[in-house]
Amino acid sequence: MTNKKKPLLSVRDLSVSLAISRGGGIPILESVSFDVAEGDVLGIVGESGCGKSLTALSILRLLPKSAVVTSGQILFQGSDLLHKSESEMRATRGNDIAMIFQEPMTSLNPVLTVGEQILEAIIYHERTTRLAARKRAIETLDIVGIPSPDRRIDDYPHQMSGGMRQRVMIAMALATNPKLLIADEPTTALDVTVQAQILELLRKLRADLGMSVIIITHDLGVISDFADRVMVMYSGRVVEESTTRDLFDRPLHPYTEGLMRSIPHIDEDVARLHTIEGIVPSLGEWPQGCRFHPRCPYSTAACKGAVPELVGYAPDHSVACVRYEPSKQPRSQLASR
Amino acid sequence: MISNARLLNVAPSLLEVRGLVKHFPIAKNSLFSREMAVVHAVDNVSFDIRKGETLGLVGESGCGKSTTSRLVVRLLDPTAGSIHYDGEDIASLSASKLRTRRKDFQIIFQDPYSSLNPRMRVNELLSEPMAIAGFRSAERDSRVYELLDMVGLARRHASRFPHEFSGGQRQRIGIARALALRPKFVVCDEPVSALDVSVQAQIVNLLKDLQAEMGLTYLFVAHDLSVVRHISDRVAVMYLGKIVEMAAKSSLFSDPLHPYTKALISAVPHARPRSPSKAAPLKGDVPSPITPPSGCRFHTRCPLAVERCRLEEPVLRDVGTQSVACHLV
Repeated sequence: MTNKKKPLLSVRDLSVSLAISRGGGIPILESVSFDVAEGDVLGIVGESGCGKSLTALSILRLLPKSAVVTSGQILFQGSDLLHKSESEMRATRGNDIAMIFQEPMTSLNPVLTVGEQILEAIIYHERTTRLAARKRAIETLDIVGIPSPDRRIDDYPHQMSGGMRQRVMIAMALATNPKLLIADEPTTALDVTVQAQILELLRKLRADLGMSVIIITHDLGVISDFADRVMVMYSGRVVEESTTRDLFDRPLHPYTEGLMRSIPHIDEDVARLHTIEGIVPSLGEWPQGCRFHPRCPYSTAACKGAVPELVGYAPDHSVACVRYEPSKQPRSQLASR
Repeated sequence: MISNARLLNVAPSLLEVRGLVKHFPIAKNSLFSREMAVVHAVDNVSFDIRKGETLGLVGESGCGKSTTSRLVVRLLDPTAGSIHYDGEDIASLSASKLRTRRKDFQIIFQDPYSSLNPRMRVNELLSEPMAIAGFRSAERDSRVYELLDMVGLARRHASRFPHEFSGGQRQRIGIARALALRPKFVVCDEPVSALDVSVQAQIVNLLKDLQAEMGLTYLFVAHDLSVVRHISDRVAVMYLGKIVEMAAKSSLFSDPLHPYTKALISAVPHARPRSPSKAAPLKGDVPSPITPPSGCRFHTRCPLAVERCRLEEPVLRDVGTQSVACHLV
């Protein structure tokens, strides 16, 4: 988290609970903190139920009604999004911060042409004329690589392939020149050759427009291809955060290490895949202490006690594991933060 | 674990597929039109699977890999072609003969959430195929426990319902059910695509262990090339209903010949930091299988295409140890 560049977004100690009757709540995010610098790409990686999508929805204040932010701050350009009114938030959402979703098949309205859907966002945020907005929409469709955009703008979503629809989603997100783009599994539903096209497009747009990106995925390949920094989440907590290169060169948390060793590679043969024993715990069934300890090969009695905090282990590399806590390490190994 | 690769050149074929075709008729364009169009899902596909080996089948969505996998276990009836299983053509078997024969070839489905009946307990799910095959009740009960042991589930799980399990555990139930009748050949249709990354490895290892223990032969269908490389002995690449390349996995991944195979492999992001791949991503989308392109079906997206590719369809032929369907190789 020691980033030289100015943070555009700074999430501090964010905790979210699922409200259930009789006052109690099930924690779904706990003490999540991270920064996204201007022009940076942060990857959030983790398995189902780890809270990566919820983190994104919290930033946009799009959490379902049953989910309540219990503490924390979400500072965007210095002001706390959690303290904004709904109308202020509406001006931010889709304007300064845009989001693209996983399912290009279901996140477009099937009864409106793609043009009408892009125009809606432009006209809402920029109070411009229909004609100017349409011109802008065609330009944006051109930028995202839709062939003959002046004709395709009047297509309905079903007339387009999955890759094209995801391009339309990206065009909608870009139409208002956002400063931060949140992409939640943008390529998961796509074929690998189309995924490569979309990642290439996102890379180019980020370079051309200088926007910051948060990309959420379970695919470590997509992360290593695209992200500058990575945050690994497990059961609602951040367990590791570092530069992408550092994380792949030297994963510290046992979960990160296990995750990396358990995926087969396209350019290498191994006799047997490494496995992480056990299953991802369900919401509300998180174990005491370190959430990962029942599956961790290094777990000790200490892991069942307190939840380990995310602490800096090396410059630009933080980890939440008792094995790396300052008190357990010789002084010389500790890097200054 | 014994490597299956060693068996490759000696083992006889268990499955011989020749000229397999599957066309699905659909109503053309208009809702009220009587005119019919045809989806060319699988078009003249031939391959062998040898005893004890794993043939990986890869390709993008709509390439016909799932249709092929359903055809070889006769969950779909082929439009044309033969499927010789252990010497007998199952493509032309009558329904009653097929039922007795089917215990030899089984399928594991992609989605462990929708492929298990939510109202049946695990022991019912596992004994149903045995009941149909005429196992006695006592035999069925002991086999259920045997199966649970085999796939790494506890015996107490027998009385539970599918919703009480995680995705990985449900896939173990799916595997146990496929193995209940001691099949020799198992089609694995995207068996790990719906699972969490950390659970994928458990299931892949289980499938490999079971193969080694029981001498199973697999057709492993997946879109994840890394997983296919890990589990397969040989790999076939499909594009728009055709096999475009087939080879031992070592040569296919290190020395792909077909431009489509090359594009497919270079499109996979490496899970290691390195410079982004230099190969330009493939342009465009897979064309419609209703009106597939003339000549080589890949020519509309192929960076190397010449006039001949548009006019003449390339046949799958041997080049060294690999088979490839391309005019330019």
